[in-house]
Amino acid sequence: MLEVDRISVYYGDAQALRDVSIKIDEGEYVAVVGSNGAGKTTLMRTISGLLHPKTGKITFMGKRIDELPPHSIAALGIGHIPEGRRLFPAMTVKENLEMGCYLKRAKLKKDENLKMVYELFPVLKERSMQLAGTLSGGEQQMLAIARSLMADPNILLIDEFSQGLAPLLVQKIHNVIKELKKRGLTILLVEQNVRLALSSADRAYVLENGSIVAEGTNLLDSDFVRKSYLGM
Amino acid sequence: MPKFRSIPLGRFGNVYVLTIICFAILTAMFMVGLIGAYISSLIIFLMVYIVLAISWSILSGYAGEFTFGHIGFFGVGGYTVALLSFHNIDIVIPFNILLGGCMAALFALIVAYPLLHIRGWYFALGTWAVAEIARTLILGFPAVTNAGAGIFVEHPYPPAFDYFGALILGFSAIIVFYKIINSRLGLAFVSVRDNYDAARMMGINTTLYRTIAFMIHAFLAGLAGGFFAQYKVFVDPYSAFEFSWIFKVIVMAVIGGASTFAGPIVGAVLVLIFEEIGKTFFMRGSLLLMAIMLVVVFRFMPEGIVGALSGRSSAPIFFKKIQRLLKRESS
Repeated sequence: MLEVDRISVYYGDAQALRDVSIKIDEGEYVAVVGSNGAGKTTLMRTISGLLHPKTGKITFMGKRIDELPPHSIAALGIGHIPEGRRLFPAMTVKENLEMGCYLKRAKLKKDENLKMVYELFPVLKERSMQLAGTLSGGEQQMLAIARSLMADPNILLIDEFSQGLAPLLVQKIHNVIKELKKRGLTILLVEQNVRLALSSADRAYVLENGSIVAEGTNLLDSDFVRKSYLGM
Repeated sequence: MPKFRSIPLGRFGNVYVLTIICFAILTAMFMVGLIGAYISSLIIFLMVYIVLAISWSILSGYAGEFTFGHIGFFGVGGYTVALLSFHNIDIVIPFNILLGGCMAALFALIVAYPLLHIRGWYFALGTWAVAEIARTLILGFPAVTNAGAGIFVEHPYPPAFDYFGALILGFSAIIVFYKIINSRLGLAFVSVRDNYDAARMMGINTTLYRTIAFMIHAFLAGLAGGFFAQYKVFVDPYSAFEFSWIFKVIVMAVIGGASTFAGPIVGAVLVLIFEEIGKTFFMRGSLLLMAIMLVVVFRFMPEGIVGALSGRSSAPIFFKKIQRLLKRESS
């Protein structure tokens, strides 16, 4: 469904990604793990068009997307939950959700999707008239997820959702992500919390200094990962 | 769906009804002769101010692009009306003013391409340059524009024409403003302002929406300029692009609250009052008064008076930065 083929991405002269290739099939839940500065967020931003690769290509459902502007990529059904949530703080919860379905394709299914996200996150319904900037960290993360679900995406890119959240909330939101997967949504998750990501994803890639150094279905058992990332 | 950001006026009732009532009262007062020449000129100025403050707020308060070039589009509108008269092209009066707005919007579309590639302070300075370019162009073609000598605009209509023209212009701008900020379009503007990247990820074509905001702002400024040229019966490159107007308009929008519905209107009223007080008591003291007011508002309520009262802080990050700057200086 989504194929990233040997892309290299630069910030000016500094290379952030080297020949990175990943592949996600429909309905899969794939994780990309790695430490700080490994290039995880760069990878996500490149897929959604905020950055453009210097070499290599990205195809989504058979269509090449690495040259497209972000709004066209969003229109194809790639939802992105950015690192640090990036809500619109001066808008209410409801208005943020409204922004989520700004696209034509999503506007048609607005009521249906609104019902779905309220059911997934009942707290958002209670707070629908509150300004997004005044929500707690966990609620903001829920809103960020809900907002991108409003766009009725085919694939969801989730960047570092656990950042700055209490363990209990991380668990709660993670359960929602697993539930979304169960409903058939394709998910690409980027995480620093390696154990959390690897324990639930179907497949995973390990990103280190801008390159993929390992991939597989059962990385939790791999010696390399246990040693480098889990300290065992 | 609940109405978006209708809070500032929510407790005063329906905006449409309120607008119609105000319009009816002002009409009736004029009809029975309660409004003399002085008051009528004040109301005409107020309406022009309101249109300008609203136009500035749409671009800078809602779409988040701070502009200094606002007066350039005012001038383009004014000169469109003046040139029509100068070259004896007869167009029925409301339409030449409308054409002034359209020409300003067209000019905005042309300069949008280079301008909207830059953001923030650079954009603000760029808009200023554009206003200067417009003025220079007029000075550079004396055969067409009569250059520095200015143009007298034919005005064969009675005073009531100006008065009602101003009312219609001002109140329609208010309604249009209200419509825009409560629409999906207004929401898109705010999203571009508050989080550029997130807006793009939501599928907002940010360049397109910034261009739209830029053109709406230019259209309204051009209408105000066209009307004002007609009212003043004279334009020249200095009065039509008078720089102190930019300052005044920014003061109106910021004091009232550029990211609120009622803000620009309240600001326009306040600035008009300041000006009259200034004129009466100390010559050009009104600018000083406004400057002090501006600093006080920036320091204590960057959302403006209406923004602070409504408790719905949606001040652009830009204003918050200035507030932080002032705080740091003073502590």
